[in-house]
Amino acid sequence: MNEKISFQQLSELLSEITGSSVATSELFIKEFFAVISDALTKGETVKIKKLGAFSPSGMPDKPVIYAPDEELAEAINMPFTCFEAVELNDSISDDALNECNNEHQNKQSNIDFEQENELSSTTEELEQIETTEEGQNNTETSITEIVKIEQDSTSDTVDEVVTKIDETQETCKPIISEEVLDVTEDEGERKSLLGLWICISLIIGLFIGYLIGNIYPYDTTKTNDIEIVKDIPLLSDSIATDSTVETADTIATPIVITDTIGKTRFLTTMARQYYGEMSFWVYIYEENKDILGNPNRIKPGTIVIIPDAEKYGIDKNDSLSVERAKLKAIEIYAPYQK
Amino acid sequence: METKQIVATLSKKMGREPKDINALIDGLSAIIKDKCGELDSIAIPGFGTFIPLKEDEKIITDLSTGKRMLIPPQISLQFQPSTILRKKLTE
Repeated sequence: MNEKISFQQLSELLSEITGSSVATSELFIKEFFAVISDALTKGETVKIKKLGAFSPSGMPDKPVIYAPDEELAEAINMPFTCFEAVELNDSISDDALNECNNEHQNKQSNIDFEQENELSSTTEELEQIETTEEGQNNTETSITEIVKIEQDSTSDTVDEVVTKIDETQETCKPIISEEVLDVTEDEGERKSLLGLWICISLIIGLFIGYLIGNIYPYDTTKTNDIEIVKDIPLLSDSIATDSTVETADTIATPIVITDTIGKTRFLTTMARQYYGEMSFWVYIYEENKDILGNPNRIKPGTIVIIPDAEKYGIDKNDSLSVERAKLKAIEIYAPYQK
Repeated sequence: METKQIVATLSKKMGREPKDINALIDGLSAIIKDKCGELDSIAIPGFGTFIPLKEDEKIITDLSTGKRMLIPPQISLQFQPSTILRKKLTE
């Protein structure tokens, strides 16, 4: 694309096509165009079948007027032959054409905003869960601190008792044993508190699971997946939920047909192949408008999704459907007007 | 000058059958069709360059009626004469 074919390349190509030698091809090209230029200098118009007509104009800025052969011109303009000049309605103003472009941009920004909101809400939920967990931890630490303090105090009292009364060691023993018993009782309380917390969290988890199960009454396999997805955020981070959601989505997605834009493969050629009519290229564009910009400047190598014909009501035999596609083309081109 | 005359002149100059010359002309036009269809330009030294020109879509307004037409994009084949041909023609 946009390359310049030199004389050498041209003669090689000609020899390949015609089966003649490169020297013969070179000689032919030289002689052929020498004859034309001679005729032009004599003021004659030269008409060549399948190539076109050359005529001298007499103007110094454009001395030769070239009119390509009808068949050749049509073949070169092949990607755009399906289009026709269309009269625009009076109702479509320039502002409306600009608005069309703006709406497209706004839609995209709205989608982004919604996604951000969803993300922020999920992060808020996660933060709440974390804070409750922290609260639990705090209570746990406070309990352990109390236990430690009590342990220290008991040891102090024991020391005092030991230093003051040596003879009454036997009497001290029961005191120590009583204090130790208190400590073990506190530890027991702590364990029971932990057990209580675990029980409460399990009950909450089961209750939420039950609620989700009621909200999404799908078949058993799917509901199980969703319950797992919804339960995980309460116990773990968001990464796990994302991956599980993705796997659930991939199972549901249908088979998608894709095609690649080439140097000579355009949306129109794809439309003709898949739908039997060039005009339906607009729906391929519509399906991929997020990755495609100006429909005339799509880079070769771009992979596009071919939508199902039923999705947009594509029917080559229905003249209304074809007309709709042509009107859609006007809408698509509108934002790219100069 | 028409194709027949050119074929006759070339067959005399090159000493080949008119059928072969016709085949060569067909081959040349096929190359121009293919290459210019891919937006490549073809340069012929001493004669000029065949350039495919892509024009974007545009809206044309008829001032007398006020009607607006949406003209679709198109690729047209242009010919740019070389300086040698220009000199020959202006002399």
